[in-house]
Amino acid sequence: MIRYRYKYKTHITFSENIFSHHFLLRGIPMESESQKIIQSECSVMPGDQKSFGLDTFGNTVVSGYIGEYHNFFEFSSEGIVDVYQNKISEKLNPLFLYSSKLTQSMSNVSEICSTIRFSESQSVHEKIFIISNEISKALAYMPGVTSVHTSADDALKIGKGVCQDFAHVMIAVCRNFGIAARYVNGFMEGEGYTHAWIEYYCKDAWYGFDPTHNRPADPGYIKLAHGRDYEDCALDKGVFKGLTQQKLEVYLKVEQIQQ
Amino acid sequence: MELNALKKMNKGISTAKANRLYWLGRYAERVYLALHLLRKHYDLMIDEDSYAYNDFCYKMGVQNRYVSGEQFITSYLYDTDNPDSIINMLEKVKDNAILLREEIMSETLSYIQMSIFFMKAAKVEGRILSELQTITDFMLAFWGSIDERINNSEIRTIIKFGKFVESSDLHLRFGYPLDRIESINVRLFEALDNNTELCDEINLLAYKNNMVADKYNEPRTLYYLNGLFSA
Amino acid sequence: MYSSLVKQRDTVNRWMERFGVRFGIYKNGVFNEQIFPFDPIPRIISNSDWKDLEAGLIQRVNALNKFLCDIYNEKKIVKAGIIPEEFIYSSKGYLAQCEGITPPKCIFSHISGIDLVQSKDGTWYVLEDNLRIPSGASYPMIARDITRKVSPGTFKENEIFDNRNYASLIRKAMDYVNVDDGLEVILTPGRYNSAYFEHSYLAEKAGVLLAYADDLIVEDDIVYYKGLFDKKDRVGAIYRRISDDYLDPLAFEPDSLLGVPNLMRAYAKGNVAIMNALGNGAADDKGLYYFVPKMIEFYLGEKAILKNAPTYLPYFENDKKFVLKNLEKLVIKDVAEAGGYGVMFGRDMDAQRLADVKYLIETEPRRWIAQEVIDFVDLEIMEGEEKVYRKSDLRAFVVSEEETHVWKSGLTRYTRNPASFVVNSSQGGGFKDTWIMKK
Repeated sequence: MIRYRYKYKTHITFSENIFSHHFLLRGIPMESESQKIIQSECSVMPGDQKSFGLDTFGNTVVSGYIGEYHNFFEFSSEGIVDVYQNKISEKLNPLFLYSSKLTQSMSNVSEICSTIRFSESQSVHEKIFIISNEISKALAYMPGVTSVHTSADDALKIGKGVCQDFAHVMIAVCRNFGIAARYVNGFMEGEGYTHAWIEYYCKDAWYGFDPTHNRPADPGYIKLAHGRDYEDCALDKGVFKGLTQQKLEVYLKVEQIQQ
Repeated sequence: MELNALKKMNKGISTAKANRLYWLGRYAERVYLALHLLRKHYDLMIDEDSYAYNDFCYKMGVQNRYVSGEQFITSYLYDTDNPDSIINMLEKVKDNAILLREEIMSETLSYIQMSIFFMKAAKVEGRILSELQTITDFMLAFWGSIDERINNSEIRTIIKFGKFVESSDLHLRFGYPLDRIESINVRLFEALDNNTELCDEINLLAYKNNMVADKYNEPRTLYYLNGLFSA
Repeated sequence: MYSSLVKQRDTVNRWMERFGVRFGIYKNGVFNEQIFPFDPIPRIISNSDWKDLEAGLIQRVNALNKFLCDIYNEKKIVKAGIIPEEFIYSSKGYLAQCEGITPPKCIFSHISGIDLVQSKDGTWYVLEDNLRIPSGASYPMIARDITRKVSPGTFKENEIFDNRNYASLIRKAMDYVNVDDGLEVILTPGRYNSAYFEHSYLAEKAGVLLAYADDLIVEDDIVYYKGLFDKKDRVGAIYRRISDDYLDPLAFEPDSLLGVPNLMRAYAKGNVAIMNALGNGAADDKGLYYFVPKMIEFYLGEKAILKNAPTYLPYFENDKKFVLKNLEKLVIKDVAEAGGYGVMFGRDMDAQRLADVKYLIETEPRRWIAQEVIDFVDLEIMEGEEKVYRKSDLRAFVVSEEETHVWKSGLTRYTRNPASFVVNSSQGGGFKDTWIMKK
């Protein structure tokens, strides 16, 4: 077990005042067999008017409304998490075997699948490494080329992308081979940005894997939320009224604590 | 016919709805009064001043885009491409009314619908102004239906607010004497029934303050009047 | 029995105009409101025929409601091997976001529109179930109001069930599921929606508020109607006329301006009733239709009273073989389409087209269903002074509250084009009143 302290803050500055602002956030670590929450706090500014709930996948969601004029929005979440082994025993929800909006298997996904050969004797874990190796060849890491709406198929067409695209492609390929897979949002040890990886299902449990770094998602990964693809578990969504430019700043720090 | 024994009333007026109600009142009154004022100017145009429409356009505050009295009448009544025409005023009444069917009831809405049908047919048949008495009748029936069918007094209040603001506005523009304006104001404030929440307080005070012989016909009075409604 | 209506049809049409009985249609991107042509000759359903239909419809809708409750929770019908899980999870109408949510009073389909046709031997067949936002009931309702005015004698002589109670049926359904006695609203996408007339007419007749997305707001997972001067009234039931995808931009289609942000959060917590419930598309998908008789057996332990049109699912190997062999005789439907779109008749296809469609069926078997073409009865309609026969169907409306009721009427639609089999209003058809006889 490793104990981590995390500090996560997103701050949006609006160039003009906005109002009638609804938000839906997922920025609180998820409790599971592989992760125990020791301490967790979060706040929303301005107003700190928020309610908590669970979405259909069991992710904690923070939702709320700010009616009055405001020119910034800040969400901060911090706490302490104990991370155990990379395995979550769970009954399979067959949903994760079927393609979703951003992971549909179109020509580019089919093409990459056709280059992959498994032998009968290979375990699911071995297959995952083979798939990930293949994706590393097909996709180069490059920010700014794709967006949150880019599908797995489109990312493959472009041949470039960020962690979200690597995860979508990995999921699409896994599902194509009958391996249940899901999208995961979370934090990585260190300072920087939020990250996305996947979990695949083998026998009776889920295992984390990070296709962007082509390695298991362990150690140093804190999971926030999961879903079929990005759209099921986006970390921050909002709609508001007003014409404005927005500037997003994200602060994230995850560090081990000595016990 | 089944009578509904309803447990509760679903009442509510959103800002958007309040605005529609107010403008419904204004446009409906504008149709009614424009026809009325038009008849007066048309009468002058018969044998006294064939250019009386110039004065009409000036007072109404609309662009004078007409070359003759005859063309003025046809265009001002029926031309769908003329933004100031009566038929377009009716369309604006309908635009608001159609979004308020559940509040004003289908019967009330149907008088607007029928007015539009009548105008469209009248254009084709080339009817003269006096025959548009039917529109005036429909508009009076529309107002009657509003009093008769709308139980929610807040809804009625906002429509009437629009109606009397429009009435006062046009009477001021056409240079009616102070006592006529004041009698419209009485009806306006009666309709509001001290519900001054719907009013902009400063504009209301300024408007009332201007109701004296030497100030009431200042352009500012119109400004205050048009700023009265605030939802 | 209806000759006076035929004689007075111009009067009837004038009344329809007066009340603005219209439906909107987009042509080349421009919105137009059209008169929905009304034929004065009613469809007449005898009392004994109706009793069978009624029993069959109630049974069918009860089973569909149980099915929806099941697939968003335990999925017993999948576990029992009756419906392959693929038909649930890859259905376009299935919403994973609704897993585990039980709507107030456990009703999913409050208003169901079941489309039927009658074959020449008198048998009724269900063509499709509409469990999302079935529309059209307001037309026969207002037509009846007008025909009774214009020809009172007709309704004195014939004993016909009144159909003007539709709005109060809707109202009862809203009252029944209303959470905490909140306000009841119809949520409309606005006047440029094809069914706007219906939204506003039903709001008027049911005595509920007509609301636009901007009028509603979600705060602390509770829905409010925003009144003047910061007044906020809690909303307990929403009869929404906006499809699932556009209902909440934070949960579904992010660019939707028609929706209410975070409505899904309020709904998930049981703080508001939404009718019809979200995710109903999983049950009225044309692929699922095949399984409805099996659902009735599974959930109710009864044999289905109403027949499905004979249907083949290319998903099953045997059915696929049959479909590919008999394509010329069948009608092929895209499971994801509605409103008469995505319907293809084998007999109208040339050799190339047949080959193309066969290829589609082979490559995407789950996407298609094939049905035998039913030789259904044609109804008389007036064309000018002449009586002609045209294809028609019947949409029966079933309202579920504490009990399930069938509205004693229905929307009878007919094609105006003599060669057409598609009777959808968005494809230029007209409508008739539907008379259910008391005896």
